Amino acid sequence: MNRVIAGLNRPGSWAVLFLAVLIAGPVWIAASRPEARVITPAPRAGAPAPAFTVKTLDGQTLTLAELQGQPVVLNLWATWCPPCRAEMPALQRVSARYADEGLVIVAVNQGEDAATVADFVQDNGLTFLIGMDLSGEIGRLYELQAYPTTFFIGRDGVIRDVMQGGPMAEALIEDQVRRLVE
Amino acid sequence: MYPTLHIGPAAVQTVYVLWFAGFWLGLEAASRSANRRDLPPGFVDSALFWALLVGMIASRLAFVVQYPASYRNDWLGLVSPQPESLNGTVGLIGGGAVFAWLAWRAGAALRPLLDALAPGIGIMLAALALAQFAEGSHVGVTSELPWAVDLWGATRHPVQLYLALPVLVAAVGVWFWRGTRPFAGFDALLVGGVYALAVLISSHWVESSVTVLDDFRREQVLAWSALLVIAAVGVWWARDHGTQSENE
Repeated sequence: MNRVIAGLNRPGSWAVLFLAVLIAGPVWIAASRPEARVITPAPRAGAPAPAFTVKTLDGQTLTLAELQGQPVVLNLWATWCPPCRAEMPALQRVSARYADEGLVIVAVNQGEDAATVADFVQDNGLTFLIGMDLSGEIGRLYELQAYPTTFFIGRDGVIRDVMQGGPMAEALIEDQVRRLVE
Repeated sequence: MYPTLHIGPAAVQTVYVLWFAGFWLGLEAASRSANRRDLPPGFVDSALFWALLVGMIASRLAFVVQYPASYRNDWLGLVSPQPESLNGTVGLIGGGAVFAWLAWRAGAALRPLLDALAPGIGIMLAALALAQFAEGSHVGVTSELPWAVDLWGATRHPVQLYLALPVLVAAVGVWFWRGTRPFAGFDALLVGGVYALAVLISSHWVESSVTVLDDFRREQVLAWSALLVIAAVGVWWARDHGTQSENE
């Protein structure tokens, strides 16, 4: 080991490394291309929102494709998460204000039972769509890293912005929504 | 994985715990490593403090400029501790610029400085990857290998560990290894090179990636470019070291 490290004091050793990286790197990168492997675009601003199907709290089936042509706010949340709870009233008010402009808010709960979620929805007077992601599949699709995470999706199905964490200020939600509906 | 630990009524988001632990350990490693090198006493601690402070302020101000409507009726929001109201890129650039300026003003030599920072930065990068593992993000493609992990209803490549473990070994290795280095700046090149190589290789098995150019994975293109730069700098510094040795 010491001999290997000592050998790295020669410029020639580094030149060999440079050549190895120069040649082998592109080969490996090409082998890792999406065409060569099955991968999906990361759900970030500018990427298409991953398609999903979810059961709503009232038992209906909702797909993202059904909402094509409408601005969508997708909120991933849980009732045990204080910032998620705190931003719900603001989401409700923005939802009511922009309903005429076609705004759809879908708050997808992560892995909780229907009774817990229904109690919370009733206590807070929420009228927007509540999805039930029992398996966490949508959380995985959207690479959920922190609760809550909110995706602002344009009429063309492209993610315009992502907000990780919360609670979001009402003005921030409205600012984002205004950009979606314009 | 374990995105959230429920301790009684408290819900602890594992990702923040790992970020905090990695950040604290990284600062500690950088500080201790700096004490062994030819740097102005206390410089690294003080410069990291100012870089952190300016980075935080810059990242919040950039967010405010980006979303001014959020703060029009809520000026107190400017000082709220919400991590989502930060612009990380601007924070990194701002903090980095302050650190570089302080280093230039203090006359700190570049290579010992990079070597001092190397173990700390390596530990922070490993903590970020471990946080992704804990929360189940940045997942790998499905696999039936014996070391595949059960995640999101399938067994998958633990790509986060492919990234975390090599850089953690490299960082801890250069932190504790007391042997002679080939030249000043070697530790920084080693940790940076190991991380870039781990990204280049492990991204092959990542399920979801941002793509650039002709559908190439962006992180691989960046890692490959970084490796080329590191190898080129290695040629330069090794030649420089050889010239100095001959003169002595």
